[in-house]
Amino acid sequence: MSSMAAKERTMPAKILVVDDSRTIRHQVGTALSQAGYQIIEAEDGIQGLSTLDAQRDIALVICDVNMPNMGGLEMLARVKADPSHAALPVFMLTTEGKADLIHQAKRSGAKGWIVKPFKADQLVAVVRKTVGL
Amino acid sequence: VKPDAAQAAVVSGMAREACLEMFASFAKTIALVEDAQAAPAGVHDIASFIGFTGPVRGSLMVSGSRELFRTSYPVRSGKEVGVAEIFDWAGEIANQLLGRIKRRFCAVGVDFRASTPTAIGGVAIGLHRPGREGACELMLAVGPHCVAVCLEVTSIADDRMFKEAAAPIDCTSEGDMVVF
Repeated sequence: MSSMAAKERTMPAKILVVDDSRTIRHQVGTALSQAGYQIIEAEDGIQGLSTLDAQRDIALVICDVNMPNMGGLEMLARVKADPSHAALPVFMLTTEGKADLIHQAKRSGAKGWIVKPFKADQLVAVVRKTVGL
Repeated sequence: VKPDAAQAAVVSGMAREACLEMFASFAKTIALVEDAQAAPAGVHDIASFIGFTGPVRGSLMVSGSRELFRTSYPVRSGKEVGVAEIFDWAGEIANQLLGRIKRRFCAVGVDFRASTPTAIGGVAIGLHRPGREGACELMLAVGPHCVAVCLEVTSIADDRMFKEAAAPIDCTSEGDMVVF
């Protein structure tokens, strides 16, 4: 996010959580909303992309990899291919830990890779470092 | 091709380790019940499943009581945990348990791709006698509850699922965070 956008922002930063598990969305959402962020949820990559198109003030995306309809790596590629979203920081949150997938995400422009189960304080810290509060 | 006895023992060891690690945070006391078929399955009314495919393929089932999944739900919001949350959490447990098993397979050079998990409700849907031939069946005492785990895995190509010469596949661990 640009410093201009951060200065203009008066509402809490909006975080999009994309995961087919409502438990994970609930876990991530609780950790980040308690830290002051506004949470928007999507259940798969397709819903994630349409949410990004509809809500242009989303500051960061946290995205599962293995999801029905559209997986996280495909969503990441589409986000980065769209000039209006390409600058968005995207973190992958998944049970997958294979190095080749992590390298693929890095090459596609992801900001980071988190292996479930995540630690709430670490997640909040990395989000805060990326978008501020 | 089903694994031979030696390879089945390796799979069983991996599944045991992964289960103990996975369920360690659920209760103060956790133990493997030696005879999986001796433990009661009648109280199990939710089972979750996840499949996998690749050079090896198969499925993982986790079953337990609704109370187990309700009390272990990882978000404490002060609100009652709903039925949809309980079922979703059961599926997520299968997903995260298979992730731990996959890392152990990768360590010996075997990879697979997981499907998305699902969960069902029913009556007495835990392990039953006779056990399924070739399946790795485990029962864990998790605090006052018991959890049944059934891992079935077959090799696509031949009966040597794990090859001595196979190089480990590089993986990060649970809870790791990589920032680029």
